[in-house]
Amino acid sequence: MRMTRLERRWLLRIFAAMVPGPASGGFAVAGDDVGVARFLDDLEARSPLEPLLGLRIAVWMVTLGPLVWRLKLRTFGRLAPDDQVAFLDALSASRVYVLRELPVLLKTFLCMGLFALPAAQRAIGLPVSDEAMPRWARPS
Amino acid sequence: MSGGIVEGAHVSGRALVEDACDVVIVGTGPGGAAAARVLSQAGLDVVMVEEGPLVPVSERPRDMWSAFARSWRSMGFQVARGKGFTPILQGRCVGGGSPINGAIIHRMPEEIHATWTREHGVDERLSYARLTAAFDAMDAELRVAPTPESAWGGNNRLMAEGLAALGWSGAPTNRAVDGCESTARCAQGCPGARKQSLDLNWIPGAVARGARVYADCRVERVTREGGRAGGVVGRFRGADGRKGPRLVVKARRAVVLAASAIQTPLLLMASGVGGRSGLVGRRFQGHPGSGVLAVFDEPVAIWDGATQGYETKHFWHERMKFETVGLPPEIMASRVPGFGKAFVSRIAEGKHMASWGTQVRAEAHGRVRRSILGGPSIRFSMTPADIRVLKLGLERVVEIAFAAGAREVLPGIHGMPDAITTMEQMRAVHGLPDDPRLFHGICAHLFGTATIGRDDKTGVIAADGQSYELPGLYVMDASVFPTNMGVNPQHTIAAIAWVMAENLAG
Repeated sequence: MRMTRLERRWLLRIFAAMVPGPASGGFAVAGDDVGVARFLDDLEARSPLEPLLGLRIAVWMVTLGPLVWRLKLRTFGRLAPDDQVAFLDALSASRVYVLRELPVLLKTFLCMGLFALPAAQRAIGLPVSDEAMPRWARPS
Repeated sequence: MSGGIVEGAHVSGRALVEDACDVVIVGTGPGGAAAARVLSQAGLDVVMVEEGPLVPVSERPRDMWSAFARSWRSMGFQVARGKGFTPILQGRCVGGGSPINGAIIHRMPEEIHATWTREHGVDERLSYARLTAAFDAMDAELRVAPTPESAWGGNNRLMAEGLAALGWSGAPTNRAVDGCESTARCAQGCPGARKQSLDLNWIPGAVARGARVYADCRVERVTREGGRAGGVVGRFRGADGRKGPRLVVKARRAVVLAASAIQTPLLLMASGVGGRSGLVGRRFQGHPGSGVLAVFDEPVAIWDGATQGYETKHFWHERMKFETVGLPPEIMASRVPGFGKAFVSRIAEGKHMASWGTQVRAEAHGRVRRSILGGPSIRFSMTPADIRVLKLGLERVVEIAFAAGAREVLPGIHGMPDAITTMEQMRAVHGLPDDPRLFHGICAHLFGTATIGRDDKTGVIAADGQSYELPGLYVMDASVFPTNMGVNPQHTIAAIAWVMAENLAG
C-alpha cells in the first residue's frame, strides 16, 4: 500500500515543520531531507499494513486539521511556519487521546529516518563515520 | 543426521520440505533454545522451526529502522489495544528476543516460585532446587556477570551516583555479555557478538549435535498421530513476503511450543488444544514500563556504554524496578518533546541526556486472540492501581535523576510540563487521573496465555510442561507463567524450559 504523491508531499511538509533545516536556522538536517525521502521509500516497501495505514490517516488528519479544528481556510502546508508548529503543539496537547497521538506517530516515523542519518547523529554529538549510512539512505 | 540451518531462500522453488525427528521445537528464543540445548545434549534428534530470519552478526545493522525490519516482530509496531495503545515489543529472528534485548539476567524470585507452588500447581517437577541448578549451569554457559564499570558510560554511572546519593540500593546489571564493547547497540544486535544471544551459542551447539533449524518458516498448527501430538506443519516465506514451500515435520516423541506468550496461544487455538480450560489466550500479563529523559550539564553520551548496565530493585516489593535504557538516537529523539525550533534546541542537547525507566509488575490481565487478519489481537490495559505504581516509579526515577545532578527532566507525561526542574513539579503527577493514555509506555516482558495449573480446569499445562489435553504436546516458554515476576524474564524462561526438557529427556 503506497502513499500517493500528494500524501507524500503533505507528509514531507509536516516533517519539515517538525524539524526545520539549516536554511531556516533550524537543525543540521531538515525533516524533508532527501535521506528522509529515501526512508519513506523503504518504509512503504517494508512496513506492515497497519502502521502504514495509521501513517496515512495521520497525514490526512494533520494536513486537513487546520480546516476542521482551527476553522482556517488553509491546509497545514499553507500555514506560516510558526502557525504550523503552534498547530502541532496544540494537537499534541489535545484532550482527545487519538488526536494527540497523531503528531507522536508522525514524529516517531520522522525520527526513525532522520536520526539514522550520519549528519543528524553528528549534530547531536554522536561520533559516526560515513560508512555508517543506512542501506536505505544510500543513493540507488 | 547432520545438523544445519535452512533458510527460506534455500528452499525456494520447492513445493514441500519434510523432516522427521524425536522432538520438534517451535520457536528459537530463550525457551526453545534452552530446550534444544538440553534435548540435543541428551542425544535426542531435534528440529527447530523459527518464523523469523537468521541474522548473521555481519549483517546486524547500525540503524534502528533496519533492525526493526529484520529482527523485530511487526517491525516494532505491534500494539496491545485497551484504553490506549501499548507497544508490545518482541524479537522475531533466530534467537528470539535474545539478539535484540539488553541481555539482562535475573533469577526468578523465590517468593514468586513459592506462590506458584502454593496456588498454581507447580510441584517438584519444577522445584526451585531444579531451577537453581539450571540457573547455575546457564550462568556459566552464557558468561553471566555484573556489567563492569569500564562499560558503564555516563548513562549507567549517573544512575549509580543518584542511587548512592539517595541511599537506595543499586547494582550493575547482571548480563549475559562477554567483554562488552560499550556500543549501546543491544537493540540492533550486538555488532561485536559480545552479547551471548542464543543464536550464537545454544542454537549452533544444538546444530553441531545434529539439530536442524528451519528459519523463515511459520508453523501453522500441530498435527496429531494416534491421539498424540505428532508433528507440525508450516509454511516458508521469502524475504519479499512471498509464500514458499510447506514444511511438514513428524516428531516421534514430542512437540514443544516455545513461540512466546503471544504466538503460542494462537498455535494452540489453531490446533484445537486447550479449549477444555477456556484459558488459552487468557491471563496475559506483562511488565509495562515508561521512562524519562534527564538532562545534565555534563555530557552523558548515552551511545557510549552498556545499553542497560545499572538497575535497582530497591522498591521491588512495591511492584517496581528501575533500570537504565540506552536508547538508540532515533528512539531518543522521538521522545524529546516539542516541534520546530523548540525541538531543535532540545535535541541539540542530546549528548547531555540520560534515559532511565521503570517497569511495573502489573496486576492487570489481558487477552490474546486471533484477529480477523490472522495475526494476534492483544487486549491489555494497566489497572488504576498499576498506574499509581507507575506514577510513583516515575517520581522516584526523577528523584534519582535530580540526586545525580540533572538540570532538568523531560517526563513525557501528558498533562505535565515538557520539562521540569523540581521534585514538586514531578509530584504533580499524582494529581493526574489514573489513565494509561497519559503515559508513553511499552511492554516487553510478556507472560501467561497457556498457564500451568493443577488440572485441566485451572490451567492449560501441567508442571512438567505437557498439555492436559494432547499428550506429547509441551509448552516451554513464558506462556506457562501463572503470574509475572517483577524481574526481566529471559533467564527464568530458559530455566523453566531447561528443567522441563530434562524431564522430557528422562
